[in-house]
This record gives sequence, C-alpha cells and structure tokens, in this order.
Amino acid sequence: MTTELFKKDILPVKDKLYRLALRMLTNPAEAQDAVQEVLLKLWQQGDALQKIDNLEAWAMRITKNWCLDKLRSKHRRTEDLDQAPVQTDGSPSAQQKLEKKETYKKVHQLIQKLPEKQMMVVQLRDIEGMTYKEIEQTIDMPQNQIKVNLFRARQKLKALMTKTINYEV
Amino acid sequence: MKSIKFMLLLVAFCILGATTSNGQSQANAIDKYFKQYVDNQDFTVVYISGKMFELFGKLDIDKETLDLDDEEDVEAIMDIARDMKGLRILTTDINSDRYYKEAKSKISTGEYEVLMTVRTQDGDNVEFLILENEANNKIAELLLLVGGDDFVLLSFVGNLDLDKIVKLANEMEKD
Amino acid sequence: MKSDMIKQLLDRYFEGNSSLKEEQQLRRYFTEGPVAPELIAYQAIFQVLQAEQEIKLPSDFESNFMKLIETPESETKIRSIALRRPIRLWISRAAAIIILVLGLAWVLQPLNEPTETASIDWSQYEPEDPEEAIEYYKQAMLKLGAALNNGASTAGTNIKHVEEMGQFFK
Repeated sequence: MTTELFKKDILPVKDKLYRLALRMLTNPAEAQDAVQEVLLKLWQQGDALQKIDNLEAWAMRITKNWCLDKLRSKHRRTEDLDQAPVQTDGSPSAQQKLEKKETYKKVHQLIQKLPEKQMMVVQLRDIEGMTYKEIEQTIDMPQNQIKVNLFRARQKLKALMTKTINYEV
Repeated sequence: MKSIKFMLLLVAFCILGATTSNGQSQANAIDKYFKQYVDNQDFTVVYISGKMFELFGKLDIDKETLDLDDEEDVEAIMDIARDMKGLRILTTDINSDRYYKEAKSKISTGEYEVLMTVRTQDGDNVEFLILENEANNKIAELLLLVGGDDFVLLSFVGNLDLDKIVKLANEMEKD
Repeated sequence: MKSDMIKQLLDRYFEGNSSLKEEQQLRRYFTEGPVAPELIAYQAIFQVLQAEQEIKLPSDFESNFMKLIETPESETKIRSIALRRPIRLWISRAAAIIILVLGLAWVLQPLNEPTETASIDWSQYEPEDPEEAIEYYKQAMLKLGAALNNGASTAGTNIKHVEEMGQFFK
C-alpha cells in the first residue's frame, strides 16, 4: 500500500480510533499510543488492506482488540480522573453554571462507568453514529443484542436526568 | 496530476456545497441578533463553512500559500482551522461607529461573555465576546466587534481553544 | 408542535427504537437550541454526546506518524497549482465576487420572505474557491491576533492576563 492510499483511506479515521481508544483506556496519552500502534499494524498489513470491504470497521476492530489486550494486561480499568474543581464566585449565575457543569460531569461519568458492552454500543452508536451493521462488524455483537444494550444504557441516562431534575427542584 | 487532484477536490466540494442542505444550522450571533445587517446593502457578508475548513485541512498550506513570513504563524492559524465549524464576516465602512454601538448593545451579555474591551492605538474600538460550550470547556463561538473607520463583526463558530488563540497572538507578536 | 415531535423522538430513543436519522435530529435539536423548557433536562445528554464526538487527536499526530513510517515520500506535499498563484490577485477577484454577491442579493430581494423566523441562507455568501476562502480566514485570524495583542498592550496588561482567563475555563 502506498503512502498516498494510506493517507487517503486510513488516516481520515484516526480521530474515530482515538475516541474509541480514549473511551476504553480513559488516558489520552495511552489512547494516542494505541492509535499509533494500530496505524502501524495497519500499515504493515500493506496490500492485504485493499481487499477489505469496510476499512473503517476493520480499523476500529483492531483498535478495540488492542485496547482490550492492554486492559487485560493491566488487570484493571482505570477510573476516570476527576477534573480540577470548578471555580465559582457564589453569584447565582455562577451557581447555575456550576450545576450545569456537574450535570455534564455526571453524564460523562455514567457513560464511562457503563458495563463494557453497553459502553461500546453507546460509543459506536450514540457518539460515532454507526449503523447496527457497522457496529456488528466492529465488535461482533448480533444486532438484537446491540439494541438491548443500547436500551439499557439509554434507560440509565434517562434515569440520571430524572434524578437530576428532582434534585434541582 | 496534482492539479487534477485539486480540481477534483474542488469539484467534489462544489457538488457537496450545492447538494447538501444549508449546513448553517449552527447557532451563531448573527443569526440571532444581526439578520438585518445581512440583508442590509451597506454590508459585505462572507461565510466560510465547516466543509471549507475541512478542505483546508486536506490541502497542504504553507507560508508561501498564505503569503506570510513566519511558518509558525501559519501553523497557529491552521491549527485553529481544525476546530472551526464556521466563520461569518460582516463589514461596512458606512456609519461604522453607529453600527458598532448598536451591535454592542444588541448582544445579550446573559448569553455571551465579554472577554475584553479595548481602544486600540489607531483609535478603533474592539470588543471580544465568547460563548462557552460547557459540555467540553471549549469556546463555541468567539465574536470580534470592531468599530472605527470600518465596522467589522467576526463570528468564529467551532470548538475553539483559547490557548490556541493566545498562541497565535503570541506568535504574531514575535515577528 | 415541534416539541411534541421531539418528545416522541425522545421516547423512541430511550426505548432503543430510534433510527440514525432520528437520533441526528435529536442531537441537532438539543445542541443548536432553543430547547423547550420541559425538555431542558435532556439537553445535557446530547451535548455531552456531541462534545465526545468532536474530540480529536493533536494536530501534529499525523505528521509524527508519517515520520515514524519513514517512507521516503514518493511525492512532495499535495500542492495545488492554483494555490501558487499570487495571492495579491485576490483583492480584485474578491471585489468582483462581492459586487456579484451584492448584485444577486439585490435581485433576489423580492423573493425574501418577510417572516421573522426566516433563517439566513449563508450559502450565497460563500467565496467561489478555496483560495478566496483561505485568504478571508487568514485575514480574520490576523485581525483577531492583532486585536488581542493591541488590546493586551493597551490595557496595560500582557497576554498572560488573557491566558489566566483561559485557565478559568478548565
């Protein structure tokens, strides 16, 4: 495979691969390494790549597997580190802003803490906008299962929002 | 061969531009507060779409292309381009002071935060406003209002990083 | 009316029954606003999803990677011959475009709907080609940088002050 073809077909999906790696590994530096390793792997596959139908799904698959291996060798899933505390000057609108930031944090953490299968489908469907078929190609999950996992994850999101409203009222 | 490639990109872009529905579904200050300036014959209006910014990313742009002296300036500018979803420019040299005052008062400071108000050495009045995206701590829209001989309103929409913009200013000052 | 439709879509979404298109609609609705007050609670979900989708690798990643491969580039950078043309020509071309756009706008005026909520069709204000566009963008960025520098020194503070403001967002 030529550099040009690689640039044209593979490199454009690098951000997608990064987001997936980041979702699984949570650490940006590790996620970047992951993408680099995956791209190297793909590069070494050379001309064989041209025979593959859906290069994007293929690359995502490799990324997923690479990250899973990494996680297993670590024996843990690193928890999402809390961001630095947000400043507030106590004024009403600052207070509202703080609440809003908290809500965003909660949503983000909920997604991060989902069981692996649900987390994957949220990443691939709700964030990347992939079709059920593409998701199936990427993570080997039958479409009915994809739907079930999506349902469960989204119900959790809904519950979180309801809880949040009740708190603020 | 390379010019053919560029031509193809250009054609693809034009087709894309012609067939996709108005991608300007982005929220921005001009749609919210300044529709009448856009319709106003006194004003020059320019729009650079997200698709165009994507195109910039695919072309290789260096200081020669941009006619700038400093490669770092170019890098800083193109680094910000990656985060851009839309640039809207409104400008006029008629009644510029009036429009500047009017524009300043129209923008709801409940929504937009004033970053800085300045009177430059040339006697221009400048105001920076931002709309923060709390979901990712980036700037969803940066507004630049300039009043002087010309009235200029620049609306930068995207996922802007204030650090990158400061970096650009610093790079420019180095020359 | 619109918010009823959104409520329906939301229900389908939470049931896991929504199509991709419907999900895109929901995302657009909640990120572009305005959002109906009774639905505000759900806005955070879609805003976070949108923000997550916009995460990107740092700008130097690709070039670093290409260096890593160490393949001698068989071609030099993908240049367009068109972009090598002297940029100074843009002034007269831009003027011609502006006149054209203004002329068109004037001609099309009777067709404008007087409705308050008619949104602007921005596509008519786009430059003809990337050369124009990048020049406009560059001018806008230079103006931004200059104003920042000018403002910072005029205000008696230096750029550090603005950087500190940047910290406030983190």
